[in-house]
Amino acid sequence: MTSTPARGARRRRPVLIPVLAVLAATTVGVSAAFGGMADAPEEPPELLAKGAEFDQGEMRTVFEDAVVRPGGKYEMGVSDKRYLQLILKVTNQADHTILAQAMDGALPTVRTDTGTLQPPATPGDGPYIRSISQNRPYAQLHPGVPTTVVVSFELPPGAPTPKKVSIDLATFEWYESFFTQERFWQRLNGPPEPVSPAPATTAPARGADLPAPKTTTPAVVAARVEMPVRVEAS
Amino acid sequence: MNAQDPRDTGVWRPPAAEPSWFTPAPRLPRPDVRVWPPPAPEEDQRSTSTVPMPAVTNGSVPPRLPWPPPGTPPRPAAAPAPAAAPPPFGAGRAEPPAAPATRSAPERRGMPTAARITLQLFGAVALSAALLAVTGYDALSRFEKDNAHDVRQVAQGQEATLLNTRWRLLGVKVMSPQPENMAPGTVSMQVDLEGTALNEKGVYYSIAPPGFRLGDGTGRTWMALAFKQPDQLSPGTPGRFSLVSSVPKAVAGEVELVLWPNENAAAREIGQALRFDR
Amino acid sequence: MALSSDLVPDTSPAPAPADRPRGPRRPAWHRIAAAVLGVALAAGAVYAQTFTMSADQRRAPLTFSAGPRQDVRTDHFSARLERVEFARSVRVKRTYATDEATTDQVFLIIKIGATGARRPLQLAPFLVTADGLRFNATDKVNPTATITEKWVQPGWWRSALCFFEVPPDKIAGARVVVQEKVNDLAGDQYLPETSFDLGLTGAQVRQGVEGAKDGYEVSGI
Repeated sequence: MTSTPARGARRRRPVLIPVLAVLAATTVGVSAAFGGMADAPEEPPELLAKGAEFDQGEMRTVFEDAVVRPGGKYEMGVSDKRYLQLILKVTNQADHTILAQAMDGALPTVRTDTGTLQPPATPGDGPYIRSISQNRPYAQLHPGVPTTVVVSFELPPGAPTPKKVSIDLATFEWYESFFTQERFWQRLNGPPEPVSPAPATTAPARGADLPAPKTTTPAVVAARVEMPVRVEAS
Repeated sequence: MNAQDPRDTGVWRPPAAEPSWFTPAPRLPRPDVRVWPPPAPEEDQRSTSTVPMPAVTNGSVPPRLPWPPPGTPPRPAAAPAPAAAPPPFGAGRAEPPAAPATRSAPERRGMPTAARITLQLFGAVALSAALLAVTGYDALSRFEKDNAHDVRQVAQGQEATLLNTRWRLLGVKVMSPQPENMAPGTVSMQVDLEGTALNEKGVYYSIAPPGFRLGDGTGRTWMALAFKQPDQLSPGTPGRFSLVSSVPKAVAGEVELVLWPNENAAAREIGQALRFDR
Repeated sequence: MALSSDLVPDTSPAPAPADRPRGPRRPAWHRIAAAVLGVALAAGAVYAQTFTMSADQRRAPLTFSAGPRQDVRTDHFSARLERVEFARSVRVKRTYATDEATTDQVFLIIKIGATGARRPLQLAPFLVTADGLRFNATDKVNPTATITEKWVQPGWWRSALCFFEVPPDKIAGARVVVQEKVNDLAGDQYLPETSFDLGLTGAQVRQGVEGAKDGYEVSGI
C-alpha cells in the first residue's frame, strides 16, 4: 500500500551528489595547484657545530670532538691502524641501563670529506662503540649518568685523512605497539632518502668514487652535526 | 485410482492395504464432523469458522444450548485468546475498535520478578565463569603444549638413542677424593657416560655438549658439568664423557642421570630426554 | 459485547480489569529510569575496563618483596639479602691475572644468598632506584666474580656478590631485584622475582660512601 505524501511537504532536491562532486573537484584542483601528490621538499635539518648538545629522545648527546688517531688509546684498536673516533658525551634518558652500541642507530649516517663511514659498505662492519670510564672501554650506559662514548671507525690503510665530518642524528620516540601494547624506544624512520654525495664544501674530486651511502634503514634526520677533524699523532 | 468400483467417489476410500514404507497411504480427507449443534461436552470440539452466523429464529430448530456448556470446566486463563474477532453483522458500528487493546492483552502471567532477576544473575555469573574457564583452559593447554617433555627411562646397562647419538651410562659414583671447598652437606658425584654418534649429525655433541642433570625421586635436579669429553666424535666411535656434580649427601645414593639434547632444553625441561637407571 | 453475544457465542474471556497498563504504554519516569540504568550499566562496564592490567603489568614478573635479611621464597628459588657495602675500587683475583675495576662514583656491593627450589638456575640481580631507574650490574667487574655466573641449586644456600655502579645520590631508597637469568628468545613469562629494600637512608649512604675503601678483593675465574 502506498502512502500518500503529506500535503505541504516540499519535495527534496538531491543535493548530496552535486556537493560531493564539487568538493572532490576542489580537492583535486587544490592538490594539483600545490604540486599534486609528490613529496614536499624536505626541510633542511638543523645544523649543529662542535660542542653542541642534542636531545635524541632515548639519549642526550654532546658532540665533543672528532679525532683521527692510531689505535691504543682507551684500549681500543691496534696501534698500526688509524681510526676516526667521535668523542661524545651521552646521557642515557631511558629508565634502564642500555648498551653503548645503541649509538650505532642514533647516528645513522656519518660522512667525511673523503667518503662515507656509516652506514658501512659491508653490513656488520660498523663502528666499534664503547663507553669510556677511567680510560678503559666498557659497554654499558647507566640511566641518567653522563658517560663518554667513543665511536671508532677504522680507516682503510692509505686512505686520505678526513678534515671534516658530518653526522646525521636520528631521534627516538617512546612508542607503544598497537598489537602487543609493548612500549619501547623506536627510531623515527622516514622515506628512503636520495643517495646524496658527500658534502662538497671542501671535498676534493677524489671523494666521488667512494661508495655512496646505502640507506637501507633510512632515518629521519633530525639534525646534522659538522665538526672539524683533529689529527693526533701516536 | 480404482475406477471399477462405481461407489468409489474418490473422496472417501479405505486404504487398499496397510501402508508401509514403500506403499504410502493415499492422503485421506477428513470425515465430516458435526459442527452444530455443538458436540457433547466431553468432546470439546470448537468451531473454527470465522464467519459469524446469523441467528435463525425459525421455531423448528432445537432450543439453543447455552455456551459454554454448563458441565465444562472454566477455561484456564493461560489459553491464548483468539485473535480479535471481527464484530458481527450489524454490531460493528456500535462497538469501537478500541476494545482489542484490552481484550487481546496477553493473558500469560510472567514469572515472578524475583525469580527472573535471580535467573538473570545466575546466567551472568555462569557466562562469566564459563569465559574465565575457557580462557584459563586455553592458556593452560598452551602452556602444557609449550612445555611438554618426554623423559624415557633407560634400564640399567642399556643403551638409548637421543638425537642421532646412542648413549650408555657407565657409572654413577661418589667422587673420590672429594674436591675442596664443597658446600656443607653436599657431596661430589662423578658420572661416566659413553656416546656414539650414529651419523654425521651426531658428532656435534663434542662441541656443544648436551644438558646433563642429576635428578632424585622427588623431581629436584642438579647441574652436572662435563670435565672430560671427547675432542672429536666420529660416527660409530664411542666417546667418553665424564661429569661432575654436587648433590646433597642425603640423595647421593639415589640420583640418576638425566640427559637433555642441549643446555636450553635442560634448563626449561622441554623436549625429549633420557633418564638412566643406576 | 452485548450485541455480539446474540449472534455468536462469545469465545473471548471477559476483559481483564485495567489494573496495570502493559505493552508499549509506559509512564515517562519508567522509561527515563530504564535509560539511566542502561547508561549507568554501560558506563560501569567501561569503567571496569580500567581495572584490567596493562600490558606491562601482565608481562611483569611475580614480585615477592622483603626487607634485608629476610628469606623470600618463590616457586623457583629462595633468596635473601645478606650484606650491603660500598667500595671505591674492586680487585678481582683471577687464575692468571688480577683485574682492577675503578669508578668515578662508588661501587655498591650487595651480597645475596639463594637456593633453588627444584632446578639449578642462575640469577641476574638489578638495582631499582627510588625514582624508578633500573641499573644493571656493572660490567666493570668480571662476571665470574659475581652471582650471575654461579649456579644456585636446590638443597643448600649459596652466597655471592653483585656490584652496581650508581651515583651516590640515587642510592637512598633503592631496592635490589633478583630475577632468574633467562634466555630472552625463549620468551619466558610469569617468572618470579624477589625485591629487597636496601633500607638505606640518605645519611647512611653518605656515611657509607665516605667510608668506602679502595681495593675490595673478590676472586673470580
